[in-house]
Amino acid sequence: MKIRSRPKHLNLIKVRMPITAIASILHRLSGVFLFLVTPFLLYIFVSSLKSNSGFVLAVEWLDCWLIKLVFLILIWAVMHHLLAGIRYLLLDLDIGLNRSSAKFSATLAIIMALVLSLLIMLWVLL
Amino acid sequence: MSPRAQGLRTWLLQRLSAVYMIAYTIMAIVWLSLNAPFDFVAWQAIFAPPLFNIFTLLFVFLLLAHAWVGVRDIFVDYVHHLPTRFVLMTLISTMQIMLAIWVFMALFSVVQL
Repeated sequence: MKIRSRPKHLNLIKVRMPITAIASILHRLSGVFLFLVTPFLLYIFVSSLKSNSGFVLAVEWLDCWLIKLVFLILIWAVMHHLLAGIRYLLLDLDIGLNRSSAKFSATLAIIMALVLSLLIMLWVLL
Repeated sequence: MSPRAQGLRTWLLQRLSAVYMIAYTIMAIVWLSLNAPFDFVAWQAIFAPPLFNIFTLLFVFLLLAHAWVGVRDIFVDYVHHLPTRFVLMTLISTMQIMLAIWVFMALFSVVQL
């Protein structure tokens, strides 16, 4: 049974991840993060709609540095989930399925998400 | 989980909700950058027209459904003990439905016909 003695690398640190796998993992991680913050965001949205004091409170919350920190991650998570998501929609339509273009679009999604979220952060902070 | 909500249907729901959310996000960014709300009255007034109110409500509903499908996919991958998965999915379904009702009531209260 030679086949059984082949090395099996299921250690995620030892496995050499292709860029497409990294894009996929980040898509899932950003999705989990967005799922976790959704109730909180809806809470801010609902209370800002209900009363003037709720609106003022929402604005105050958004000014708090801890929440701003969460929002920095949130902006990246939205951008990555959006761009990688558009990539998946295109892949579903059989666009960019071959290896080189799949690798290129994965790299593009990762880099564009970082660049766009950096630009949005600068735009929001300045 | 009803058998009808499995497989192809949820796969399709995931994709269609994604397309709608992309369209709504572009629309919302354009709209908000053209007339940014500075106070409470202006903020409430954005959601007063029935059409935009319904678009927003649909966005929130589809967002919750999209997240539900995503979490379900993750549980199918990692939670192999079926009773545990069932309990977790029931909890999350209940949470998403309650959030949907809550946002519906908030948006319904500001709509002006």
